[in-house]
Formats: sequence, C-alpha cells, structure tokens
Amino acid sequence: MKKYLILFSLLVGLGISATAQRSLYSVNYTVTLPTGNTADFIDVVSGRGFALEFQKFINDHVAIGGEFGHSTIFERTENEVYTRETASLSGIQYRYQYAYPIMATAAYYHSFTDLIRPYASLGIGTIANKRTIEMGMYKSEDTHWQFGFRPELGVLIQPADNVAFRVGAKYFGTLEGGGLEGQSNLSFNIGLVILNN
Amino acid sequence: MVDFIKRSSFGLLLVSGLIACSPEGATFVEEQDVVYTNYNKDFNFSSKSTYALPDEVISISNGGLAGDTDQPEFLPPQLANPILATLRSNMNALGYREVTESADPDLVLLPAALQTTEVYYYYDWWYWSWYYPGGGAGWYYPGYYPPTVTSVRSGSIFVQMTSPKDVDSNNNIAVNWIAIVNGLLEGEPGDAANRIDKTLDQAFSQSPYLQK
Repeated sequence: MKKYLILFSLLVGLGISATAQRSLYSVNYTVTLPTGNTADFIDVVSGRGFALEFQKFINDHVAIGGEFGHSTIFERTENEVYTRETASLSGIQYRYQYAYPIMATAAYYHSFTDLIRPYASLGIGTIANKRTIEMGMYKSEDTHWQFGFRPELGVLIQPADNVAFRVGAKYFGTLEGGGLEGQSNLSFNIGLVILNN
Repeated sequence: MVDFIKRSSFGLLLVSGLIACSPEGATFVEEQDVVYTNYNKDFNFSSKSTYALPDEVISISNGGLAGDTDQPEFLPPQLANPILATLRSNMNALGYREVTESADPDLVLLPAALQTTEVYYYYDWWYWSWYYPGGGAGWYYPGYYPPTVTSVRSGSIFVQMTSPKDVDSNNNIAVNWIAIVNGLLEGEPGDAANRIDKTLDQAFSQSPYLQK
C-alpha cells in the first residue's frame, strides 16, 4: 500500500511542479464498458469516470508521464439466487466496482505540428479495484490492489498551440491478485489537453 | 491564463468526480428483503407425503427467556394468517397433504417471527413443546448450519421443517429445512402481508429439492 502512495504522490508532484517546456496535462471524462470477469460481475456501461494525465516530451514524438483515474460501475441485480453447497440466498443486490488506476505511461505521437495527431500509448502500474455488494441490510466491501496495464489508441485535435482535445480508447487489464481474478474494461475518453510548448 | 485554466480544471474535475462516484442504493423497504434457505442434503423430501402446520406463529424477541411465561407469545392473526396460508399453499402445491399433528405427519412446519438483531436466532425448543407430536429435547441441523449474521434492528420469519420420526439418541429433532426471510421492521403495515407472501413463495421456489 505504501509504495502505491509514494507512486501516487510522485505523479501528483510531477503534475504540480512541472513547468518545463513541452509537456502536456489532460483532464478526461471516461465511459467504461466492462469486459471479461468484470462484466461477469457488472455488465452495465457507466459514464462515471475521469482520468488525469501528465506527460513530458523527450523528443518530438515520444512522451512519458503518469496517469491517475477513477471509474465507478454499478448494477442492480434482481431475481437471482446465490447458492453455496446446500444454502441458497436471494434478494436484490446492489453491486459497485470502483477502480483507481495509477500508472506510468509512455506515448508516441505521430505528428507534432499537424492539427490531427494520432497517438498510441501504453501504461503500466496498479489498479485498486474496490468491490461492494449490498444485499438486504448487509454490505460487503473489499479493495483489491492489482498489477495493471493499459494500451491506448487515440487522437489529439489541436486547434491552437496550447490547447487540444483528446479522443481515445483504452483497454484496462489487471492480472489476478489481491484476492480477485483479473479485471478488464474498455474505457472511452474525451478530454481537454493543455500543452506547454 | 493557460495556467489558471489548467489548475482550476484539475480541481473542478477532482471535486465533480468524487461527488459523482456513488450511485444510489436501495430506496424501498421491500428491496431490503433477503430470503435464505438451507437443508439436510441426506434427507429425501420426495419420499414424504404428509405434513402438519400449527395454527399459530410464535413471536420471539431478544431478551425474552424460554419458560418465562406459561405459554409463548404468538403473532397477531393479521400477520400470522398470511404466513400460515402461504406455507400451506406452497406445501400443497408441492404435492404434500396436510394432516393434524396427532395423525403421525412425516413433516412438521414450525413458523416463528423474530424481532432481533440477528438473522438467525437460536430459540429454545420450549416454544414448540406445547404443540409438537411426540415431544423432543431440542433441535439439530444435520449436515448444515444456519447463518450467523448480526445486523441492525430487523425482523425475520423463520420456518423450520422437521421430521418427527427422525429423532437422534439425545431425543433431538432433526430440522431438515430452514427458511429465513429477513427484512427491515419498517414500511407500511398494509404491505406486510404482500411482502410475507412474496418472500415465503421465494423461499419455496429457491428450494427445488422439496418437490415431490
């Protein structure tokens, strides 16, 4: 847990103190589509999410940085019976999964000067997945820290020197760990990008 | 200027993100109802044919002690009758035939209403000794255990299905099926019968092994 906090504060610190040339900040709204094991738990698209990114260009095309985000997916299940051995339990369940990705990222931007700048990016780090189930008057809550990665494809639309808009799609995946099987989702994001040239 | 936009947009986004992150949970009291069933997997329900059902539902709350009074407390008829009627209609629909408790039934259903802070509350055999054919010394649950969850103030309807012919060496009576319907003791009194009906029906429908 401590190392994640250090990593997180490092990323936040970078974001606040970086005033050097040729860096970008972005604020993104995300829509999450659960896939795989995540979809087995909650199979509903959610618009509750955001991502904050900072990247610094090390040459004309390549930037490295960090990302912190949050998404909530939610589903209400009804008419389901949960059976373990001889015991059966039924009732309305409210399921939540809160994901907090904290990642180091590297991106390749195809063209630095054009209006349209497609890019490919890869992030590696951790995702804290917090699962909550409410059933009747009872509630279970567990947070699982997992190793995570996310490839991303997207495009920057840059109408001015300092401002651009981002449209992108990420695939978030985690490996089994922290007492939870591997999770995954597709995340579509649109965002505002501030560039320091 | 860019710097100002940058910093304020980050702050705004963080705040709005945190506010937006929790959708609503249960809104209505009946959404809190939970139905739990468990059974003795070595017991062959389909080989049984008759059952007996008392005409009272025992009322038990925390604090009362078995044997404090001459008789246990009973649920008022407006609550007891829907419980008994739902149990009867489900048992009949499954193919069992009702007989009186003195007619040597294969199965006996013992319903109780619990106002406690626990889903499962061990209540003493004494509560049913006035009714039960053949008598007994206590309960036991062959091969399974009822749940032990502590909760806020809630009410449960707790139905135990016993087989009077199966008594162990200590004269304890085997409970072969239990159903616990747990919910908040709130809401409109008029809805209580509907909630009882729906949740007890669910207890039977999630127990397909009871089918004859």
